[in-house]
Amino acid sequence: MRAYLLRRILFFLPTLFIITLLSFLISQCAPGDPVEQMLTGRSGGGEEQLAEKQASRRLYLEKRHELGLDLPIFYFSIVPLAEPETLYRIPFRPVQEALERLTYEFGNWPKVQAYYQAYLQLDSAFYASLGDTTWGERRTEVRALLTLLPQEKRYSEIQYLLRRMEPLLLPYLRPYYEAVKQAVEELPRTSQRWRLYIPTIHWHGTQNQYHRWLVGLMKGDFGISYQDKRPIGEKLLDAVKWSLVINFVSLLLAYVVAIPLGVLAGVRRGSFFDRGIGLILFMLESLPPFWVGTMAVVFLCGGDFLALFPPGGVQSTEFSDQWSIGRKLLDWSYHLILPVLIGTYGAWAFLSRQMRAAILENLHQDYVRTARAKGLPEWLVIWKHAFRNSLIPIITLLASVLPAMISGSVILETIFSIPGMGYLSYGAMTARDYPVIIAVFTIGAVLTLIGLLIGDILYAIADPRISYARRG
Amino acid sequence: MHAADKQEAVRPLSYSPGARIWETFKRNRLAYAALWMVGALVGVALLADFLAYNKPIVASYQGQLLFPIFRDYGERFLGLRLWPATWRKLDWRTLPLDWAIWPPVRYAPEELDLRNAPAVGPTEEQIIRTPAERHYLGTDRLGRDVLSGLIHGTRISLTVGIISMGIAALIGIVLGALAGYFGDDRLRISRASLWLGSFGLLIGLYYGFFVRRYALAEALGEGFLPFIGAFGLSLFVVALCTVLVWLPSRWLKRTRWGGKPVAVWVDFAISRLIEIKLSIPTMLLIFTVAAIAKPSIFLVMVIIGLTGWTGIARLTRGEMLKVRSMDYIQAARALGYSELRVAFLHALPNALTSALVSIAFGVASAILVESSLSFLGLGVSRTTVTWGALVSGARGDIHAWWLAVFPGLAIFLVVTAFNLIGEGLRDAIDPRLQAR
Repeated sequence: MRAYLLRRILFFLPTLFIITLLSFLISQCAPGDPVEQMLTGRSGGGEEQLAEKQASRRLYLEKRHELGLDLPIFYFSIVPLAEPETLYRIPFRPVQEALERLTYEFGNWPKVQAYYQAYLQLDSAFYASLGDTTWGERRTEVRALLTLLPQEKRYSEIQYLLRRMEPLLLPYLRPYYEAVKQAVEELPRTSQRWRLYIPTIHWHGTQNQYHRWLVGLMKGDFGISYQDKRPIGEKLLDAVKWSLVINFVSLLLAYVVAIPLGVLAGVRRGSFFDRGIGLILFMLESLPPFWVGTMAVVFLCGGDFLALFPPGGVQSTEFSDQWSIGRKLLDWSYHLILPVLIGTYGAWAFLSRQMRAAILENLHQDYVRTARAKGLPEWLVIWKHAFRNSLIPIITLLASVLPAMISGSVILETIFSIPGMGYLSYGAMTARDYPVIIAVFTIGAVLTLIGLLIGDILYAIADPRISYARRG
Repeated sequence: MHAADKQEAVRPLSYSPGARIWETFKRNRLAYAALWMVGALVGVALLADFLAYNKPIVASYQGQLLFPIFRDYGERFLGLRLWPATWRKLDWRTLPLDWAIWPPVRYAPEELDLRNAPAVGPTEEQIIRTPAERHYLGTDRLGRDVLSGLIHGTRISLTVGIISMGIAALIGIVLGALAGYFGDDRLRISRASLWLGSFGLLIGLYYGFFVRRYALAEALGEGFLPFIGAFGLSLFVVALCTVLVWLPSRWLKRTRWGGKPVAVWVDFAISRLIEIKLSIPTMLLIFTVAAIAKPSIFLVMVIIGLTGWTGIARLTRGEMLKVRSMDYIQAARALGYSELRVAFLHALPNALTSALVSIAFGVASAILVESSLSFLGLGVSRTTVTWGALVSGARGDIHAWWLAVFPGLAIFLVVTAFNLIGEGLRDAIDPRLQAR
């Protein structure tokens, strides 16, 4: 058994690694610049002056350094020869992406960089000239064009923006403008696309974003929410409690209901009971939980129909800490009964069908015949002999039930406004609060993985054959 | 002997497994009815514009015979400009037409009927000109006709189900067949081939996917067909690079180092891949990706497809494990056919039927996943009317029971139909399970 468990744990680690990698990869795909998201609400809006611009840039760079976003992304990087390994140092993600894109088009980083440098000079020259009264109305437009220019990925659009800028500029900005224009025009002439097809590997060591993120993850630091700037770990700690309670109760209820149903259906195979249960459970399996949840809210929770249950939340408005524990429990269960039931019925169908199959298989085994032959009463044969042996495969089904429940809680918690992880994640989805979404995914996946490991351990304990039957 | 038995006896016995499965399947009345229902829904999806639209099918206006829906088709699909500019904004329901044949529902799915907003029920009083313009199943918050939304939503649901499972089936069948047929022992290739081939594959992945990642991302944004094209090109690049790098192994094989045959652990690798995939909560992954990416129905199909292949792969693998030791496979191998040819042309066709079961269930769950996504407001853009999005309307307004009941019922029926088909297929394919 030890070898089996060791094998499972050995399998657990790479899977965990892959999951963190996946989360990190998804987080890298989130649109926008994380630092800017973090700093939103700070700039007063309106027209920035030179000093403000410099100040906000400095603030940006400081924040970026603090968050470790000026580090390379992974332990190593494989990039074409054309792409510099230092691209990650360029601040402002849209700019970084645009420059990368241009490099991928022309294969010539030095020239792209020259364009960017020329742009920076033009930009600072523009900001230095803000006080000039001869600008008039044109200033706003030039400012907008200058903001757009470095974020533009398509070459033709860059040319277009430059053409639009040309007549608007003040005479003494001309040289800077000409430099940018020249650099842009040089790009297609000095194209070195072959450099794109030679891969190079760079080693960055542990000073990278993924490593930082992973270490933070292990310490329970999930980053900071865009919405309220609170640490995500703190936000999740309150939420995970409810999700765990609901999922645990659902899991328990799923097994407690499904197992007897499956056994009874299997024992009375082909009977009216068997077929009836089979049909009902089959229908339940096809019922989308979000629909049943919505229907329950509309028809049972005080719409135009019945008002049997509260429409959402986990406790009544008059809930107070002075209540006795019994009263508290009663209040909570009154609020949670619908979501738990709706989160469970899918598993009933699945589990009881498997239970039925397992018990049927065992009822045909020799040892059951022996038990019957020695005159044991039928209930003892079923519950003491056949049932126990059919239970083992059911334990492993945790692997199929648990992930579904954890994902399902996003929907149920949203419908019933339960302040759990799923609800938090839904709120984050509508507010585009990417760090929270990713944290919830990571935690959900890790919880699933731990659940699976526990299932495996239970399985190993329940079935002594495992140590012999499997190749270590 | 009864008359019926006699008839059975007279009919020629069919030994083809396909025909046998079909016969058994047809005898399962529920599953057979479900198949017809799916057929009918495909019909609804194809003819959606003739069932619910805000223009008549045929109309006579000022002595002119017009086919407005077809004219719209000409504009939409052929890129022609068929309508005079003044006609574009017309509300056909108010035109003094001489006569017209209308679709049964006279509203387009995304059309806002502001007089019947927000959310007017089917039994409530509606502000309409003629009884034929009734919103039979009510309207939603913006005054969009629910029935029209249901009819047109069929398209999205079925497309998502079919395309995503198409992707999943392709991945699942290929991986499952490789794992099941080759196992850990049957694929023995020379060491030179193994090393050069793997190296070539890595190089191919670099050129095919890494260098082309911008092209691929852009194609995904453009739509499904451009994406398939770009993806196909990437695959071609991968294959080309692999073959090019692998070619020298034909000479290296003669050396002592390169000639040594090694077994490739195909089954081990693919089984671990399946296990890893199974321990990731798929729905949560899909929610996360859909929440982060730009809303796009193609992306939804691609993610569901990329995450939904494990069931198919496992079944195909199991079936291939059985098939691979059969006599006719041994015979084919003895005749000297290449292993890949035997695996995919001889063994796979006999292992495919079981994958069908998983595909049918997969379509049901893909439709469920898509509707859950739209329910949460993810995946599809908010102006698109889908079944899941309609149900979520009832969440905002709990008095609008019709928004919960009818679209939900539609989802339930489709999901049940595909599940019934899956169930019927399983019973028909595996007599052992049927007897249970």
